[in-house]
Amino acid sequence: MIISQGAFTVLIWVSIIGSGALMFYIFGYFLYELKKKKIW
Amino acid sequence: MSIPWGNILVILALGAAFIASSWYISRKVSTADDYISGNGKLGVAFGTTSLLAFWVTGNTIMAAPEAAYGMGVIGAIAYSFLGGVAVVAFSPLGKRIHEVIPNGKTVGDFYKNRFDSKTYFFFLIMVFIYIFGLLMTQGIGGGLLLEQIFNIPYELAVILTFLIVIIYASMGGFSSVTGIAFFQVMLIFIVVIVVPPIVYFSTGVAPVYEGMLELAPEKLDLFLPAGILFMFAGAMMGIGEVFMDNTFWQRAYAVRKDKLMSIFGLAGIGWFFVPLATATLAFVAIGTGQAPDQINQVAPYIAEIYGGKFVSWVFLVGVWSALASTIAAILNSLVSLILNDVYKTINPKADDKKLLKTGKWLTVVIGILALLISLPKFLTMLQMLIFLGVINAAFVFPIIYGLFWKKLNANVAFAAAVLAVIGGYLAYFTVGDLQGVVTSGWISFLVCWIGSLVKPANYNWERLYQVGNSAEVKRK
Repeated sequence: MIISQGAFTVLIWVSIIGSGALMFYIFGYFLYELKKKKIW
Repeated sequence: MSIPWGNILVILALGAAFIASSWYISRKVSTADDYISGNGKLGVAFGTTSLLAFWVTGNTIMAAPEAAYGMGVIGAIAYSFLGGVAVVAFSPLGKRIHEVIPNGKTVGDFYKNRFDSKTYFFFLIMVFIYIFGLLMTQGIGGGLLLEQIFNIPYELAVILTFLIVIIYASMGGFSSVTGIAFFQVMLIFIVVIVVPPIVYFSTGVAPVYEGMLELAPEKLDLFLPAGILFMFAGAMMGIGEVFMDNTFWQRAYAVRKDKLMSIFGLAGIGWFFVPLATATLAFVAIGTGQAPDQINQVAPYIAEIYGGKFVSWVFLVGVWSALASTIAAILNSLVSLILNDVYKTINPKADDKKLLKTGKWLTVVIGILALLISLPKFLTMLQMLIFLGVINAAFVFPIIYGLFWKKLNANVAFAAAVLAVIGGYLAYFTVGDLQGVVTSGWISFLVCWIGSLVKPANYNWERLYQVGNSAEVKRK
């Protein structure tokens, strides 16, 4: 089954945006935990 | 070979930043427990990045595009699936570890108290061989990677990488390794979210797709058999590695119990997205018909064509950060195991100060030993990983059954591991390497299951629950 061009485009951008979203989520958690002094 | 001073300066600058950060973090490390684990206090940010840092190696960043280049879209998805599934699969195990052995420090604590001494010692020997082998694969793999892709001479690459890691890992142990891992993973993320968009804004997605359709349409096939096989076989190997590896046990003990599922879940998602995003660079190579001499160079090759020298350096930052973070995590994991499971047994009266000092010396000695053994580059990384995969597979089922099933008999667990290692290596040398891994896993599963049905034990979980309790009381 050949992947469609639409799905191919979605796969590429979801992987990049997903990585970016995860980075900001973890960084946000870092700031939150730093503020709460619960980093370790 | 002329020495690429620009690339070496990038590594030296990063190394200096890691060492300075480690010095800052290590000021807070005052006990041996701080040096080998986080005592269940690690939050979501450091917990997730410490898992990602170990699991996303420099070779991973390069190997995912290689899989995509060889097997197309399904190769990229399969590679991402391999690690993501293994990390997510460990989360229920991690939760169970927190429940039954809440004050443990290493995988050895579980083995020592769940089984008898012969099973424990056999496991310790095997786990030392495995972790030391893994440390060498990172040294050899990393040296080759930096030599082939960034033109840094192999010996110089290995020496630089190990020396920087030894210095910063020895300063603050687990605290330094996990603290610096956060920044290393952020650097990896920056590479992933900056480089592929630069390339795709330049080429466009549609021309890449149309190019692939014209030049290699099979690489757009989602049911390519080689890719499907790789997806499932790879996931099994990944699970074997994760379940036995002390690095994951260390982190399961170190993170907060209430955040454990989120931490392992986030790390699994990260492991899915990061290799997938870097793998998409290989689609550009296929669709535009631009192939490097070595397939594993495909990602930096495409990055440099469309982004120039600066993007190539950005890539070096990501690859080297990934490499250093993995070597540091393995080194600290091995030191923790020796300190907790060997040194404390030999010298039970050693006080905290003595343990801390010994931990620092062990990091230096083992690091230098791994450096020296990595210099001759006698094995390729994949050969070594598959060779060690036989040992990983042998211990998967004694661990799973041992954590969840009180009927698992210690003698049966011992027999399962020994027979699986012997049977696995027999198949490895006579039939084939991957067949050796599969044989080992099946023997381990069947002996544990049937043996415990025939001779069931009635294990008392309270024994595991009490592990480390006296130390806890003393500390408080």
